[in-house]
Amino acid sequence: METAGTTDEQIVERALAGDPDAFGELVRRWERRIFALTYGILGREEDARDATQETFIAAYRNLAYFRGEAKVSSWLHRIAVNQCITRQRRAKVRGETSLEGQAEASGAQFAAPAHESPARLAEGRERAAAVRRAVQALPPELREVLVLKEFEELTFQQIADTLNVPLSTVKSRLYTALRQLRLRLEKFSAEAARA
Amino acid sequence: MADMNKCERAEELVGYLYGETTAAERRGIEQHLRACAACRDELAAFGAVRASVGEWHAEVSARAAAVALPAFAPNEHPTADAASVNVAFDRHDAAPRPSLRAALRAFFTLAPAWARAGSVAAALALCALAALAVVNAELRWDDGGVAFKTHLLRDTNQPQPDAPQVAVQPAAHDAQADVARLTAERDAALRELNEARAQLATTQQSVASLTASLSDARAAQRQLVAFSQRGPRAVPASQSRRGLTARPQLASSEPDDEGLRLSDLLTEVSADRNAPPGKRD
Repeated sequence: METAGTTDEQIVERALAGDPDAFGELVRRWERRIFALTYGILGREEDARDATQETFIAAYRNLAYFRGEAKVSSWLHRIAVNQCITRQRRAKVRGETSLEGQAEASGAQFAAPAHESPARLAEGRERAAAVRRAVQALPPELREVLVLKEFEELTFQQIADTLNVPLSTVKSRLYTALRQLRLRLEKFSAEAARA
Repeated sequence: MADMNKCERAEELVGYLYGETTAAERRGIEQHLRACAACRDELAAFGAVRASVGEWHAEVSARAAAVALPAFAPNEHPTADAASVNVAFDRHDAAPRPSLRAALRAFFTLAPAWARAGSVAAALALCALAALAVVNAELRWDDGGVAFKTHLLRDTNQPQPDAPQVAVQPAAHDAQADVARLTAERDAALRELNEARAQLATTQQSVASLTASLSDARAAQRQLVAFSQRGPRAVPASQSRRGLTARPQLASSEPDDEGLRLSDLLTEVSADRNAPPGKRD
């Protein structure tokens, strides 16, 4: 990312050189996108907030090891996805229930455009809830690929590098994710038509 | 409901859908799509899915723009050993730190059932141990059985200078009295056993003494019988049997018989017993 003529790599160089404000600038530049990424993977706002914080804490602690071989954005994506994977594993060990219901509850807080009609707003909310449920029902490995592609618009190769998996695996997982989403959304549309 | 696409080139649709194909690959897929209805249908469906996900992404991005994120506040400069760098987010605009009650509630909500049950059991055990420690409990196990008592009630039963004495018989004291009574009974039983053993030893000595006396008497009887058979034959057998007590006096008053040998006496007694009843005298 480049803002006002300053690249992420230049900000990191300043931070390593001792600029106390540099890393905070990097955080402000990326925190919303990292939050959206972690929210898309985890499906719960509190978890996404914590994962975002942990991502930047981990990045700061490992800043000295950043060699510039990869882009800062890829580096942050990798850290964020790893934080999500760690949190999902912990949740699985604790035997927590599916995130679907809680994601739906938190989704009710989303602000809706004021110019939409009530009927259209309700339809849009239902549609968004259906997509959210469908995405959260995906296995984590499929959800990660989908969110990295759709939210961050990474290339297949960048996703493969971020997740440390082969390129063919990325394509296969993305195809499977789209196919499962299609089935779930068509089922939702059929139920909505009957209702 | 959509049918599963059985086309072996189905996965190639992903690259085409996201525009990540070479020119040659794109031409090949487009040629395939003209001939494969299943892939055409799936490609269209995937486009609709992407549109729905895009709407959801827009919502998430709007939420991300509005959410309150804490300010990052590193306390130290990152170095080569940055693993120990003290890093924290300024949480002034984040959710407040949960209270102990909230943390416990969260624990009992999130922890699995076995962890919750174990925590409750451990807490109860700690409370029980603390209560026993407070009352200075004592558990004793010896030959008299198991005894449990506390020193709390004993201390409170000590006569107070200003307080009227009240006869209290707590359960602990009853148990203590039972233990004392059982101990005394055990001691008495042991004493009786020792006395019985001493009486048995005395009786055994008496029996041994009587047995020795009986042996002496039998030997004297045999001597008298022999003497009566070798000595004056005028003494009838019936008289000699009746006068057992007088025969030692006779034997001792007749020094002529002192040379009589015991083997001779036994031989004669044996012959006398083997003789027919009519010839014995």
